[in-house]
Amino acid sequence: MTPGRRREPEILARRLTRSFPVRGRSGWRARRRFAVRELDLAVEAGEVVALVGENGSGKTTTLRLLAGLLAPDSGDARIAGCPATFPAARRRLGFAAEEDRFPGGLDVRGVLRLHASLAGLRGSEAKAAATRAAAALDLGPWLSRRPSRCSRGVRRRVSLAQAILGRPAILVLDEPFTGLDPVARGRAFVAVRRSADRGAAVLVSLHDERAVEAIAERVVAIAAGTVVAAGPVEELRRRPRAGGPEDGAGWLGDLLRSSGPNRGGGDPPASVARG
Amino acid sequence: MTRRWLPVASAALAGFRGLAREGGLVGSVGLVAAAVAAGMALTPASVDDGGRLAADLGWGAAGLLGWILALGHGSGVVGGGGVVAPAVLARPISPSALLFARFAGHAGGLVVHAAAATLLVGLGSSGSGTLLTGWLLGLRLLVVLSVATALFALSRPALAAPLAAAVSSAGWLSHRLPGPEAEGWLRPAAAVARRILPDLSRLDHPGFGQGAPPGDATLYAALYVAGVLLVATAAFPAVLRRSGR
Repeated sequence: MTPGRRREPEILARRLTRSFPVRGRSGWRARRRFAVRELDLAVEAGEVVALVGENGSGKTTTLRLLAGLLAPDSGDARIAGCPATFPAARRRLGFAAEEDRFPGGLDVRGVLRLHASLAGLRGSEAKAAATRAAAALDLGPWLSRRPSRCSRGVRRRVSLAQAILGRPAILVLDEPFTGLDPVARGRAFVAVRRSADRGAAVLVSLHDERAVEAIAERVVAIAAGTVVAAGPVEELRRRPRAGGPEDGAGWLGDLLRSSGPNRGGGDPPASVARG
Repeated sequence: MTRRWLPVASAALAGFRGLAREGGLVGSVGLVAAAVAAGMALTPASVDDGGRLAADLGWGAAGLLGWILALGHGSGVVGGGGVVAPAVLARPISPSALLFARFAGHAGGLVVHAAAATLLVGLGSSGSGTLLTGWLLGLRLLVVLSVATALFALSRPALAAPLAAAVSSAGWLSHRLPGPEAEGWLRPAAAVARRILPDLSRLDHPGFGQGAPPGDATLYAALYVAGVLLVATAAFPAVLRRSGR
């Protein structure tokens, strides 16, 4: 690296914008709704960043753009220094989608082996990687069962296992802890945290403040597809409360309530890219 | 080279397992066996003495069940996208290669279906031409699968399945489309339809109706499948990144 020149973050979104057509009453595509608008975000190697936001705020679209599954209308989604849709980017990426969809006919072991093979691992290397990932998420008892016949929590663990398989340098995880029991959650936290400790850049969408506190260094809050607040977890946690209702939503709920796009209090997006 | 194709082969194997385990391949072969057995049981009561009834029932069941398998899996109504799942698409394998692998896996399942039907009909009847009929059944199923796969790539399963059913049904009638002697708008419309619709009657047994010689039928099926897959694999990445399904 050239001295003085900063290396590009492992995960980088620059003025990322993506809209979807919305059908009018007549059934025709009357207008477009912006799911993500001018979003800036960066995640460095070895860092876990929690992407938080209310339902429908654009988290999943952001993650899919960064995983190269969607093309942006404008702006850049970059992984490891190249566009997210490039194979070079995806060779370094582990992705857990929001929905647990697995190729039919395969048991959990088969799903993990397929992912190992697609990640470029071969033979004993693939077998070892699948075994390691299964052990990290305690999937041993379910290896011979098809994911479709497992509980939701187990399916989530399979999704997370296939993402961390092969120790990718970049992890993009969409609500990976949803539906997990406390023991499985603990294991999943450890698995994600270990990936970051090994140097992986991790961007994970979360709803639960305990999960944020357990694994993330920074939080990026989005509303209506735009970054509205960001910073280190500790800093945002200690922010003075906005005086909202005592509904148990916690500091994360307060943060989202107080920093919506039209509610005032939101940090300017340009200032949030790096905490 | 091998390294490059191994992920595609793994995905194809997953597609095959999807059809074999969850798609009722065993069930369809069992039903063909039952149809052949029913034909054999009814033969003494019929005027037929060469197992023709068993063959007709067997081929009828194999054709219908194979068509359902090809449509259901190709269009994604059964088994969803199969190997074309978001987490798989995020891997360093191109969507086009993944779509091709999905087709190859399903095609493998249909070839097994056609081969099993050929074996069962061969055992249950003494008629000639069983091998050729089985071969042509396999070709027809691959053509229908290619249409369903292409429509899966270009639209959604709920739309792809009925469209594929309509296209493959129309394929049996495509030889009746007006030829160059047609007048007005009918002529170009018929020419376009003839290029798009699969001519399934050409893949029928040469002894029946419009059936072409086996070599011609095989060449036609190969070219049609290749053409349809070429269009589907070329368009799929763009469709995927635009729709984000």
